[in-house]
Amino acid sequence: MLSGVDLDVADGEFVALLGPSGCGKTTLLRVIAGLEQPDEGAVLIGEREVTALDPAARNIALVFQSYALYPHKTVFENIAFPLRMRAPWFTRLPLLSPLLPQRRQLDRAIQPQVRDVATQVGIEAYLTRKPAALSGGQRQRVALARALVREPDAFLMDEPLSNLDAKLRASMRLEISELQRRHKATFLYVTHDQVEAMTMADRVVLLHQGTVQQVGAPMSLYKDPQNRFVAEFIGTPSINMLRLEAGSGETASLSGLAMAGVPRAVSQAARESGGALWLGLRPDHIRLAPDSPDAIEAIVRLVEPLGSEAFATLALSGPAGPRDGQGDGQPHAPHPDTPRATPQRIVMRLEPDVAASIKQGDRLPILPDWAQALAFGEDGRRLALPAARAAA
Amino acid sequence: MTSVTAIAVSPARPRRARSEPLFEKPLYLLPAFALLLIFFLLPAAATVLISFSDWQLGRTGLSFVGLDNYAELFRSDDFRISIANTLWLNLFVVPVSFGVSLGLALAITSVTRGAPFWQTVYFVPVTSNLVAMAVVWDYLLHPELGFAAQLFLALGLEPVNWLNDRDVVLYSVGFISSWQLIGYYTVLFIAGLSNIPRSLYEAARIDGASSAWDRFVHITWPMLGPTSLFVLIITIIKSFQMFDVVKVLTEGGPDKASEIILHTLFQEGFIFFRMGVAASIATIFFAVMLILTLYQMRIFERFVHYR
Repeated sequence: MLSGVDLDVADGEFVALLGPSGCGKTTLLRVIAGLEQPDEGAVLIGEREVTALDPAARNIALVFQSYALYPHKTVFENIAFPLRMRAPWFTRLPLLSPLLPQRRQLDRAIQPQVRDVATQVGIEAYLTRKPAALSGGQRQRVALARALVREPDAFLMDEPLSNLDAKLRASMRLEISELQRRHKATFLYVTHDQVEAMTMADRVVLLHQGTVQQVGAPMSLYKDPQNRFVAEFIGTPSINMLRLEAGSGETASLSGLAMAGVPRAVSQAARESGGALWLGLRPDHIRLAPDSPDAIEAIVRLVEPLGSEAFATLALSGPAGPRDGQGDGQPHAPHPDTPRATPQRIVMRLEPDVAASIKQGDRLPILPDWAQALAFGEDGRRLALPAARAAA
Repeated sequence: MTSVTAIAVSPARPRRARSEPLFEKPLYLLPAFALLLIFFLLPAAATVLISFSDWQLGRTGLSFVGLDNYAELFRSDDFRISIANTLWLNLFVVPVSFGVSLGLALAITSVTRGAPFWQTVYFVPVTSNLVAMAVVWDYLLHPELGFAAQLFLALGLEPVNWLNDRDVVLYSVGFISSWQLIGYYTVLFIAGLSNIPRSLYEAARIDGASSAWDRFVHITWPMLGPTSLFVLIITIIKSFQMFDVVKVLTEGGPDKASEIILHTLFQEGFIFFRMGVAASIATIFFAVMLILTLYQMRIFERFVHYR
């Protein structure tokens, strides 16, 4: 399931484990929590090797996707449970323990602790309720309180927000971030939602098929992806991947369309990686170029105005205007990945006022922002385009 | 002037719409109700009526004797012994079959391989016919040739006459009844256990419940509440209804030592043909079962958490 994962989380750091479902992020979290045993390798918390230790002995807290609240206990007892389990065994004997003075002492000690964390997450009014009488958001807070109350060495969170509605999720994102900063706590946060990872984490670990694809600050994953998977996973709408085959000089074929004005670095990189590469263009990195002779033409399929911005889905049709005499004149055979029957689709970002003047079926002259373009080889690895950046 | 209207929001539980009376579609209820009437309510009423009479099976006439039958029962030593035996048997069978089936269910759900096999093994007795199995038990418990006797001899112990010793026979009967029904309760418990979300156990482990005992006390037992209540009620009812083991293996003997209430009822009614007395035993039995069921629901539901 997981292979060769080597991850070092600093004290007080918020690390997000991001990836599509089935990528092994939850398994990684469970290995760290001690719910699953790794076949090989070690888990260290602080200086302590905990690989063979019971989950209870690791002093970590885990917030489950399903919250896993104890349905038969009140909110108070749910939160108090880790504290009760930490107390000596004789304080939790059924029937007998309530008679012991130590138990009463423990009850008095637990009271303020539970109330304190309940206040922090805003559920102090519901302490006597059972989880069934709470809303999803309140249950989430109880689960957080139960994790907070024990002051663990690390907080592990397994998609804690995925059962909440979109609006609540946005506000909980903020609350959890603030909680983490206030406690200077070490967070390991599993999510499949890149928005959560990008907005909350100090560092993001992107996992795919059990291996770490890239580790880095959220923006570095966006701007500087190390491979095609990272580039395609991060960013909404996702990056456009166009196949570029090198021609002669400044010409190339982009998705089977001849185009001129290709920077030398790009065609050079394509020639070096066997004649072709994958060109990654974020929706922000395609621009309208009505005056450029090099522009290619795309047909508008869909315009999605989102208020502050808009996205247009385009289909590549051909060079804008007559292009006789330009390029090498050799029609490139279409690559099997991009059959002509379904023309290459491209999503580009537009200013709302520009988008308002565009309608379905319009033909737009577009140009890649070569300085921002990312290049990937056939194997998905990132190719350097030094000159293209320098030229910008 | 502005008027403020307060809108009281009624609890979320849906209520029957007022426009639909209880018997709006009585036709749908009729077939089931007719069956219930013919096979349960009328016979029950007839039983109560007969219990006030001196009717004997086979006789055409009968006369009303008031509470004489009941008075006779309460004066009778045999009936008192029968009741005492029945209660004693219950005190043995109910905790044993409840505890053993819970233990088996916990064991079966915790084995990683072969759970269906063990489940089947313990369920087989439920499917067996006790009258047929009585032959097997008769052999197993034979005072000299039986497996139990041989085992005791091999261990250097004095063999016990399981079915003919006054002090032992009730436990033998209880053991056989438990053996027959434990598989059924075990399956009920397994169903209850498999309904407990795994994540609760994981949360408990992380929260520090590292011992199996802590997890049982804080997760398994409370989460199993509804199942346990159901099994408890069923075990009580089933063990009050014990009859076939006694009928087939001991006939209430030796010397009334295994005489239990349903066997007494059968004897009075179909051996001595004293239907009036049998009907009063049936009436008492019915009343006690009804009260027991109603009250145990009320008492135990307070301790049970329903999700």
